[in-house]
Amino acid sequence: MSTVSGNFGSASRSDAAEREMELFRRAQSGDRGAFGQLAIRLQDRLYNAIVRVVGDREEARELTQETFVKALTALEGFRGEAQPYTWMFRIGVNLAISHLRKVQRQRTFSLDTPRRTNNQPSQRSDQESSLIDRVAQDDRQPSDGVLRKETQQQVLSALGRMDPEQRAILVMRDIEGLDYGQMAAALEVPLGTLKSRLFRARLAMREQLGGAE
Amino acid sequence: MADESENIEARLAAYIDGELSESDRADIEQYLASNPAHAKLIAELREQRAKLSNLPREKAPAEIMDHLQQHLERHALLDEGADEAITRRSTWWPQLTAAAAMLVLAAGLGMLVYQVLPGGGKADKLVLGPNVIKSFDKLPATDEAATEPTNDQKAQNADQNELTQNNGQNNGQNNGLDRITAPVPAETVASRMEKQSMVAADASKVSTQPVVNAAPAPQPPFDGAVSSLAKAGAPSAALGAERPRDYVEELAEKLVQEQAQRRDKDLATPHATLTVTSDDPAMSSALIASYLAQNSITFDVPTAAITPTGPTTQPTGGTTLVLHNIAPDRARDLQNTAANQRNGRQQANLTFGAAAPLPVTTQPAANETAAMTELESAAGKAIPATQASASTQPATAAPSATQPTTHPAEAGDLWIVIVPDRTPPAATPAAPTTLPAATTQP
Repeated sequence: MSTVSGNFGSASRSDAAEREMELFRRAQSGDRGAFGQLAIRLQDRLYNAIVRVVGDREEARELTQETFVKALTALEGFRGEAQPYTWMFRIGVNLAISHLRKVQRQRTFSLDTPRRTNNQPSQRSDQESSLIDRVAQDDRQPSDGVLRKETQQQVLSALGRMDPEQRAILVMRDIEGLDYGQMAAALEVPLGTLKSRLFRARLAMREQLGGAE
Repeated sequence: MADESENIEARLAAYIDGELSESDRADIEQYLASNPAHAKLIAELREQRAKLSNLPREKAPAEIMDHLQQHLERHALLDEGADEAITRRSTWWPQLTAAAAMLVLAAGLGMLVYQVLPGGGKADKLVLGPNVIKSFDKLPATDEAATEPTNDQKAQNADQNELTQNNGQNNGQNNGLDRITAPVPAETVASRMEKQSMVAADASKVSTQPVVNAAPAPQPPFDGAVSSLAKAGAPSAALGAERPRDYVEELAEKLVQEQAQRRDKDLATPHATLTVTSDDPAMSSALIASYLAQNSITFDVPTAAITPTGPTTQPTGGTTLVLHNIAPDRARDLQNTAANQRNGRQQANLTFGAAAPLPVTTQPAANETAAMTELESAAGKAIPATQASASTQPATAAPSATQPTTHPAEAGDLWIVIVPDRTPPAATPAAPTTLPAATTQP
């Protein structure tokens, strides 16, 4: 049963990927309407990934807009070596990581935010607080139970305390479900290195969640 | 060692994700069975992975697509190649128009300041600027001044022309031409005098009031006062500016009308070469622009296209400037512009930039008769009998001047030669009796 559903899912993803590639080719030939359709298809996935990386909806919106604009201006340079979503995801993730580094540096130098230790969860960093306060405290899902919300807050808090690159890897794999090949293409690293970094990121996440105590 | 560690980490990551082959998965499970701590770690990582996967998904706000839509529209506008060219061209027009307007304004202001400032020049040399005046100062001291009609004479001529037109006796060919110091046969002058006296007599019959314009009496005191002012360099711009301005206007109007008539026959090759004689290229360029603006001849020529040609010194000390280097598309635009303005007050087709260098007028600026002769012949105008003898004998009209050279003008070319009027301005209209004396001078 699982094999059937997996095959069906793969077929659907393949069809979607072919459709996206077709739109991308048309966009490359000057069809701006095709680029708009492609953006509509990808916007939710891209925005969700970016908002999980940066932890702020407003910043994620701006970064997603910037990603589409950058992709539009770089259309001619894309040679089809990856799926359109992977290509755009790489643009978006790189923008998000650069943004986080810049923001982190500015906050570190300007606000002198106290650093968190594992046993002092109340002393949260900016990104951790950002993920918890601006994303997890979301009333758009009133049906969620209290426990589930608490779990999500813990996960988001741990995610917010992670290194941006490791956070991006976890978002790509465990949240967005990219396969290893897509991740390796997006991060431009060998497949083995990618898997190794993924394992280390998961260990770091476990540490942030308090599982290493 | 590092590679081995990385390999183990890679296999463990793949094991958590269920991406290992059967054999690799069996190896790892065998190892984990003998190491419960590691087995617990892998279990926690799998649980952690599930928690991340179960995080609620965020939907993109509508502002993202709105922003992208705006960007796409802006991108589409900027990427239209043809539209870009049109935009580039259309955005140039206001700039060029503004530049031309500034040039005309600067020239006008310069001339105005020169005329208004005390001591800026003599009153009789205010029309075309100091460059022209300087060239006039170099002219040989001949008795040409005596051949020039005074202001009084010209005003009288204008009055006479107006009266003869009113009587239906004008042949339509004396638009300003009788102001040129061409020798007119005595019988022609006599007939004019006769006509004038007849018109004056008719006017006196119609009105019981004295007709001032019919036979203005000389006013020596007023005339003398103005003359003294002019000699003293007092500002009398109106006296110095209006008279040659009329000359230029009438000349241009006449030639433009003739050109328009020819253009009816051959719209394909209208030409007009505007030439100004001066020894100062900058001032000449300004004069050209000012002249075109004053005559409502609309065209668009970059300032850089107004460049001097020909020798820097002429027999008269002047330099002939022509407009040239106009691009073919610009010439077509000018043609179209002129064609669209056929019903306008002034119109002219200005086609510059001939393959061969435009001919340089070498006639002396002082020789207005020669200039008009050339102008007449180039325009192909039917010279009236009363003036034909004068126009065809420029050498006799100005013995001291050099003979004008033959210009390689093409059929349909129009030569508008703006030559300064060297006649000293007079404040009062001259008595009719002065006209024969002036026009009969050799």
